[in-house]
Amino acid sequence: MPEPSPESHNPFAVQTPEGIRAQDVVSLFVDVFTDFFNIPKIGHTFLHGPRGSGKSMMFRYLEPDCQCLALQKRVPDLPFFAVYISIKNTDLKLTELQRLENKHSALVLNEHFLVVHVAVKLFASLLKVDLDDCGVTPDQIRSFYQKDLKRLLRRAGWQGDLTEIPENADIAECLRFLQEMFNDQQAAVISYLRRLSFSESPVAYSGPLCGYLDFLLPLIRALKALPFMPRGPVLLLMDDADNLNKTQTTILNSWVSCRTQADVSLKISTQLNYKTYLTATGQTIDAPHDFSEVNISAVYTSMKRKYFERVSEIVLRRLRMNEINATPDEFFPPYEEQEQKIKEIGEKLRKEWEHSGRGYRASDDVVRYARPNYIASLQGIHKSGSTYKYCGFEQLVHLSSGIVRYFLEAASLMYGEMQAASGSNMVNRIDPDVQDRVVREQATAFLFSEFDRWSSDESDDDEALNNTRRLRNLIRALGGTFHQILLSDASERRVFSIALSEDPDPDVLEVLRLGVRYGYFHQSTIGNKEGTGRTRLYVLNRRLAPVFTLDPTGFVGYKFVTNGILREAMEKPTTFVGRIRRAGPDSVFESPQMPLFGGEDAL
Amino acid sequence: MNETRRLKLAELGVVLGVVPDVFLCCASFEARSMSVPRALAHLRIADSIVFANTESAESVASFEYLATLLGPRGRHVQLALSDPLRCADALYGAVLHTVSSHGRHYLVDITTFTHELLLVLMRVLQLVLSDKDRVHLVYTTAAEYSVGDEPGSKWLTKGIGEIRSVLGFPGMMLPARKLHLVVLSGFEGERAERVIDQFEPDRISVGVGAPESSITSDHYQINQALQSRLAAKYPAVELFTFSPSDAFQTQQAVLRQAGRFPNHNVAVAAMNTKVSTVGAALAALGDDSIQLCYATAHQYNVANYSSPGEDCILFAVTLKTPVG
Repeated sequence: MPEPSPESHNPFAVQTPEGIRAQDVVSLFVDVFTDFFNIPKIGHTFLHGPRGSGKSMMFRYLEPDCQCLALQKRVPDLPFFAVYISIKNTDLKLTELQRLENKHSALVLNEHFLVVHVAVKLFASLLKVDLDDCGVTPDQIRSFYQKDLKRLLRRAGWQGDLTEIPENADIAECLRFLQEMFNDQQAAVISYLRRLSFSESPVAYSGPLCGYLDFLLPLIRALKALPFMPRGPVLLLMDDADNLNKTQTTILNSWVSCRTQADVSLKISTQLNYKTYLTATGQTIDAPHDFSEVNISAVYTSMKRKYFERVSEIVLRRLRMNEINATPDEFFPPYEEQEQKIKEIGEKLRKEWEHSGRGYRASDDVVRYARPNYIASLQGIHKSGSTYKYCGFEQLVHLSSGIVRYFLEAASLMYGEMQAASGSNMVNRIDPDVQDRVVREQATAFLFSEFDRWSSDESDDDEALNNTRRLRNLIRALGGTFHQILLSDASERRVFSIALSEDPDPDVLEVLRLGVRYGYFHQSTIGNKEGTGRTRLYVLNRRLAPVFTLDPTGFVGYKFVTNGILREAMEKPTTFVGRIRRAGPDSVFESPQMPLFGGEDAL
Repeated sequence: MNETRRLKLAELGVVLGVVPDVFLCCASFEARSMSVPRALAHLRIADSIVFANTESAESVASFEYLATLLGPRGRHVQLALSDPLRCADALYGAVLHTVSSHGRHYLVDITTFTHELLLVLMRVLQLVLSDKDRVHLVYTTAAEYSVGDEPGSKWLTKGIGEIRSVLGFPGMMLPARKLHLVVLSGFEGERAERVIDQFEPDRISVGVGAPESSITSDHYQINQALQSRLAAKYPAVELFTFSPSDAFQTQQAVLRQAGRFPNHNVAVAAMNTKVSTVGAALAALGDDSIQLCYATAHQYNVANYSSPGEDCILFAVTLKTPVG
C-alpha cells in the first residue's frame, strides 16, 4: 500500500524524492527541462548542484512510473526508459574495499559491485510500472532470461546451475525473480568483502565478474529489444555520484568515455564534490567531447525570471495539493506599509525623471532606486536599518538564491510557526513579521553557525584554517561594501557580484572556490573589461541579504576587482569597508565598461 | 549472564574476584584513560596491552604514564586512527598474540577507545577468541563532560570528516531495499544531524538515553533537548529510548528498532556512551545485516572533554555465539 504523503501536513515539507509516490511527484514537479534540456536527451550528462537544488526530484520525475502518468502514455510509447540509481553514502563505499586498493582486483570487483547495483535498480524501475497493457507476456521475460541473461552470466564467470523462473510466475514475479538474482549477487560481494575485513593476505573470489561493456550494456540492449521497452535510450540516472569511492568513480568515468549514448545515456548528479574525471585507465573525460555539463546554480543565477516562475509554480502546486486556494503572492503577502512607502518613493522618482533622471526610462529609475532609497531612509532614522522587512513572495524567492530547498525549508518553518500560533491546522497566509523573522534567522545561521559547522569539517591544518578565516573576511567585506553601495548615490546600487579583472593568485582562487563549495557564492562568467573574452564572476548568495541589509530583488550590478583588492578584503575587512565608507566605492572598484544595466538575465 | 553492575572504581578488583589474564586499554587525552589501570595496578595483571593513537600528541602523556604503571608486563601498540585498515590489523595482531588454547580471562577498559576502534575491537574479539575465553568490559563514568561549560554550550567534538562503514560491520545493504538509519544520539546532536543529512534515509530512528539509565541526570536533560530539536527538523523521525549504561538493553533496543521496518537496509550510528556503542556492536554481531557506521571528527575537546567519575560499569559479554 502506498504510504500517505507527509506533504499533506505541511505543504512545504521536504521529502526525499525517492520515497514520493508517482502521482505526488507528477502533481508537485514543475517541468524544468526547458532549463536543463540535456537531461532527458540522448547523451551523457553531468548535473551539478548543491543539496536541495532539485536534482533528485528531476531524476525521480524521469522514472517511467512518473512519465507514464505525466505524459499519459504507456511504457513502450515513452521517449526513454529512465532508471533512478540513488547512491547513498555507504551503499557501495564500504571500508572493506580499501583492502583491494592498488590491486588489479579493485577495478574488477568494484565494477562488478557497481554493475550489480545498477542491475537491481533497473529491475526495480521495471517493477514500478504497469506492464499489463504493454503486450508483454511472462514467456517473453522467461525467454530473455533463457537466451540472453543466462548467456551473459555464464560469460561473466557464473559457475554451476542457474535457477529457473517459477513456472506460473506472472510478469511482476518474473521481474522480481531477476531482481532478486542480482540482489543475491550484491549479497555475495558483501559476504566476500566481509571475509576481507581482517585478512591482509589475498582471499579468493569465485563469483561472476560483470563489467559494463561485457555485461551491463548487452543486458540493457537485450532488454530494450523486448516489445514493452521504449525505442529511445535507457537513461541511467546516477544520483549523488560523489558518494562513490575513487575507484568506482574512475569506473563510472570509463563508462562515460564509451560511446554508448544511443542505447545507454548516463546522467550523473553530483553535489559539487565529484572525486575525479579520470577513467580507470588514467585518461580524462572532458566536456563537450565525452559529456555535457549543467550547473543548476549557474543556470538559475543567470536566468532569474525563470527561477521565479519555477518556484511560483512549485508553491502553487503545493498550496493546491493542500486545498489552499491562495496564490503564492497572497499566501506570502508583503508588508503593506513598507510597499506603500516604496511606491510613494517610486512615484516621486518617476516625476523627477524628466529633469534629474538617470535611466533610459522613468521606470528604470523606479526599479533601481525606489527600494534602495527606502532602505537608505530607514538607515538614516534608525541607524541599524533593521526595520526593513524581508517578506512578500517575490523577495522570498530572491532570498532563496536559486536553490528551491532554501525556499521550501524557510516556508516550512513559517508554516509551522503560523500553525503553532493559530492553534489551527489550516493556515491561509503567512504573516509578514513571521516571514521576516524566519529569513533573518536563517541568514544569521548561514553566516555564523552553519559557517562554523562546515569550517570545522575542513581539515584543521593551518592553510585550511587560514582559508576559512579569509573567506569569512571576504564575505564580511563584500557584504559591508554592497551595503555601502546601496546607501550611496551610485547609479547602480543593487550590487551583489564581483567580476575579476585579472587572474587571481592560487591562494585567492582557493578561498573563492571554498566560498562556492559551501554556497556563499555562485560562480558564473561575464565578458571581460576589454571585451576580448570572458572572466570569472562571483555572485554573493542572496540568503545573506538580511545580514548586511541589502536589497535582494535585483543583482544586475557588479564591480570589477583586482587580485590585490580581493586580497585586502580577505585580510583586512574592517579597513576595507571603512575605506569605502570614507572614500566611496570607486576608491577600490573598477567600474565595468560594459553597461551596468543589462537586462535581468544579463548575469 | 547479561548482568551489568555499577560500582566504585576502588571495588573493581574485589568484584572481579580473580585477576584477569589479559587487560586491554587505550591511552587518551582524557584522564579517564588512567582510572581503571590505576585502580587495578595492585593486581599486577600478567599481560596488558595499551593501545595509543600516534596521531594525538595529547595521548602521549597518558601513554607514558600507563607504560610506567604497567611496567614490563605491559605491551604498547600504536595506532594511526586515520587509517582504519592498519588500526584493525594492529588490533587483530595484538589480540591474536594473547590467545591461549586453554582459554583466558580478558578485561577490556572500553572507556577511551574511539567509538570506531571499540567496534572494530568487538569484531576482533569475536573472531579471535574461543568459547573458552571470558571477556569482561569495564567503563569509567565521567563526573562531567565538556567540563565547566553550560549545558547548552557543551561540546565533545567539532566537525565531521568522512562518514564510513566500520570495518567488520558492512551490513547487508541491498539496493532493492530502502534505508533505515538508526542513530544513538548523545551530546553531539549536530553530528547526528550531519549523519542523517549525509545518508538521506527513507526511515530515521533517533534513540535517546532513557532517564532511568542515563549516567547522570544532566546527560538526560541534554539528550532530551537534542531529541526535541531532531524531531522538529525531521518530522518523520521515530524516537525511541535506549540505555547509555547497559549494553544489553541497548542491544535489544537497537534490534527492536531495526525490526520496526522489515525489508529495509539498516545502518546504525552509535554516538552516545561507549557502553551503548558496545550494545550496538552486540546487535550487529548477532545480525550481520546491520551496518555500523562512524563519522570521523576533526577536533576533540581535548582540554575539557571530561573529568573522571568515581564509578565504573562492569559487564561480561559472550561473543562466540550470536547474541540476542
